Amino acid sequence: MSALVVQDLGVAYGSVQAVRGIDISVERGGLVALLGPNGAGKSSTLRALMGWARGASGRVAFDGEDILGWPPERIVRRGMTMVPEGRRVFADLTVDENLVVATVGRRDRATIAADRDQVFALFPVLYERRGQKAGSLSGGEQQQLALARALLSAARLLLLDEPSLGLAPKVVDTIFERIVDLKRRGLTLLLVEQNVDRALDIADHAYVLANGAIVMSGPAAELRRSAGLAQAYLGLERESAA
Amino acid sequence: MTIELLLQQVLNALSLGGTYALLALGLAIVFSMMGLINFAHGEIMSGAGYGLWFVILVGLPFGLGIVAAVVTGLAIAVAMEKIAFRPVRSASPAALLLTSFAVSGIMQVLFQNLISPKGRPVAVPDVLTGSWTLGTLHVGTIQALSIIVTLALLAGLTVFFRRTRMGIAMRAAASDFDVARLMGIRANAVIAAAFGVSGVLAGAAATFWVAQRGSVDPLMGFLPVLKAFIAVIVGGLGRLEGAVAGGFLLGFIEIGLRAFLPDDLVAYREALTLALVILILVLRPRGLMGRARESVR
Amino acid sequence: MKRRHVLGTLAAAAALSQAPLAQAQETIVIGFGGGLTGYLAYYDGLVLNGAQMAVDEINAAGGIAGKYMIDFQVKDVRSEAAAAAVAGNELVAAGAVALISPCDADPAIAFAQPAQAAQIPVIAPCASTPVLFAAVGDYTFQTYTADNLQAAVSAKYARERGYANAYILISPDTPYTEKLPLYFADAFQKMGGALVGQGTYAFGQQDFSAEVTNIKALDPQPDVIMTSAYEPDFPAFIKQLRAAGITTPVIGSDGIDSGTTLALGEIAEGVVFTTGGFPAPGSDLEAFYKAYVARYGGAIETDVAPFAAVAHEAVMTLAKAIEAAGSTEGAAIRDALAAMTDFKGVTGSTVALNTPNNVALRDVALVRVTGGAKEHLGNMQPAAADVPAP
Ligand SMILES: Nc1ncnc2c1ncn2[C@@H]1O[C@H](COP(=O)(O)OP(=O)(O)O)[C@@H](O)[C@H]1O
Ligand SMILES: [Mg+2]
Repeated sequence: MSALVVQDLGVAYGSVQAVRGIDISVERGGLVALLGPNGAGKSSTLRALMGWARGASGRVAFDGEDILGWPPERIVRRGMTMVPEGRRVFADLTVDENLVVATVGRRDRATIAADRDQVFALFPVLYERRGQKAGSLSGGEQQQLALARALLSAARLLLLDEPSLGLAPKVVDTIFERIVDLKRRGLTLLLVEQNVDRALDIADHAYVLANGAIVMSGPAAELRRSAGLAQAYLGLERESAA
Repeated sequence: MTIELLLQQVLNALSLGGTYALLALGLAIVFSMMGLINFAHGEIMSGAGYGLWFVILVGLPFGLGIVAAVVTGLAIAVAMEKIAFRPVRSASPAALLLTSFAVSGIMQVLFQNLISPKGRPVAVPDVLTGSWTLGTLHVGTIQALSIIVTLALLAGLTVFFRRTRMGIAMRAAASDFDVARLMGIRANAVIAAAFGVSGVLAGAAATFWVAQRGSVDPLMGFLPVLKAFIAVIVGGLGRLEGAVAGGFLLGFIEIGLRAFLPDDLVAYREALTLALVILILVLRPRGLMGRARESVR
Repeated sequence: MKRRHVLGTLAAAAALSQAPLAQAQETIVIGFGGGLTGYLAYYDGLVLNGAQMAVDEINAAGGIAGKYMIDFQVKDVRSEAAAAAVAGNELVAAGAVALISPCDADPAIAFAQPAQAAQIPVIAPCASTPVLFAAVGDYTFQTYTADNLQAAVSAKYARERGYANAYILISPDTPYTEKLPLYFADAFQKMGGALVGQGTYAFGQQDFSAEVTNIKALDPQPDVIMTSAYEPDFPAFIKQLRAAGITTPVIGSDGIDSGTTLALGEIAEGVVFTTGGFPAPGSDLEAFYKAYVARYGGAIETDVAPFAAVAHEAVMTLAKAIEAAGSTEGAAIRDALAAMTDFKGVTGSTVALNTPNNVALRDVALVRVTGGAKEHLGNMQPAAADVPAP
């Protein structure tokens, strides 16, 4: 059964139509990649799913419930959250405090401590840095904190917006390993990436977005094998840059 | 200038700066979450003053009056948020600002018409109007209490902001409101809490202010909140510690100028204060503790 | 029974008020501009009420000289000079034959200028800084106890008490808060006293700790502190002064002739101030105050002040001048006002307007706060030579 079903989603910024009626579905426990060149509308899509964008239209069902129009905090409390583009950790707060904030919406206070231990086990570097201001962490550490934060909010479905953006290749490896860990732990993931190969390596299924519309989709393995992808993708990139 | 006089002026600056700091902190908390400089903050303070006045008018003790001032400040601030600001929360910053001007004007007229355009006297008990003597230093009781209570409040708030889940959540919301909502923090709750804290602080400030001047009038809050606004800017818009630092700094500048300027320059001290403030902003355009903001809502 | 009686009274009153109306031949506009909102609201509120009472009395008696019914037009100048200028122009345009101005000097000047240009007399019943004549012109009259008049009386009092050294606290924010203590210093020094210090405050500054600390450091210490600060500055100042252990006597002026001063309790004990009048038992002023609170509510002690009486007097003065002039033409009214030597209204003081600056020469009341109440030390009219030049 699908955890997330998006039908005919549109996002408009005033008269600019950034996303034009796309359909996406994510199976429970699956990892779906949403690919596409810069400005394709990937972030706009995720923001609309999270209730961050005004001007969204269509239908978004999360676990069968229509959530379009809900305020973000309500969606989060239902079990879906987003790691936004650019990480956006709370720079003035310590690592520990960032993690505390993530648990504010949770009702199951009793299990928080155990979850926190698990998160630290998954991201040992955060444990080392737990008293440090988040703003003083390296980019990779901040990205791990952003993932940890989302995890601690007890979400079952994570939307990740370009988690590898601006990170050194070695750090990117770590981040992708962690994403695979998350999938193994049973989380459902919708991953937005520009790093196409890496994303297709770990995804089950992928959509390619260009100019606000889905231009290709299918099982990740097939897409990777399809000779057309790189070409199509590059072509699109050229097209959208023109 | 003897060392006693210097110490005396330092106490004066701490007391005045502390009151500015309380008001500035309230402004900064709300600004950091909503991007709104609440110009009706002064009317929260006046309203709290009327709470104190009313309790004394009906013959209850001054101590209850203080409670009433704080509770009134809290209630007005929370009601203001719910009635006036919540419906326009997602409007532009300019619209929010205009709303706060309107709220301010309406409340002034309400105070004027429902209570009186004239200052209402508030009798302060004799124990509070005396002074404490520390060696050769005379410290007015109200002044001393205002320093102690201000420091205690700031310490209490520090604990609240560092140790409690709500406090940490509020700091998170202050630094990035949108992302805080991604953590499940309820926008309505955290903004109401921000207004609540600002109301409590305005209530405490109102108590000292009224106790020192002996009356409350519809325009009472305007000037101190204007000063607090300057303190917020000096400290760095949206930075909570900055607002507190700005408040104290303004207190020291004002008292310093009034104490040490030669007679023929004293008349220019408000201008000099602002000149110093502008100088600080020229040297540090984002204020003492300011830095770029990522998002405002 | 009772109802019929009431109805009968009403009918009689209606008949009475209608009868003269039939005789009146003309309705003239007298304009009022006051800060009904803003920092002057309290003072201009009193002025409006007092003036309104006089207007109603005149109209109920059939108008001025049984001839001119008054159409009293009221404008709120919001305690701002700009709004006062607009109100002045509007009232002139409305055909007013005379105007009553707002309280403080700045709005009063702005308000009176259009009237001066149109040659319409303006009476300022509450603006006490004697500057209108110089700043606006010969169509302005100030009927209140002027600042220099008050200062002459308080300086004389201070010297008679044997005070040798004085400190004054001024605020450049308004002429009243700046000039009055300077007049005092002027008169005090001419009478042989010395000025040992001067403090400056900003309107509404609230915190006087720095000034108080400076006073404590003065050598020699002042024997008396004089200020024309009023609410909220005066209560804040004296509280902080006394809290610092300074017991020096304080002299104020009419701005503190209000309930707030008495509500200060112990702290205000012994404060002496000059004011426009005192409602001594059996006095004309007391009778007016009773009528005032009967109409507007409140208590004599806390809710009415001499401004109300002087405003009442101002309208009556205008009526008398119009009657004497036998005309509602501006120049004629002005001349009749300027010739007035011994008008006596509800304050009980004689009012002379035949003075060099059209500033009334009249009694100043001297009051001391004693036992939480106002004690009347007496009324005095200063010798002309003792009054500092404006
Ligand atoms: N807040 C906004 N206001 C107006 N246009 C926007 C806004 N955010 C994004 N856009 C526009 O929408 C389109 C899609 O942007 P985005 O969703 O950020 O793309 P991607 O994440 O795929 O790079 C772009 O043309 C971008 O300029
Ligand atoms: Mg993007």
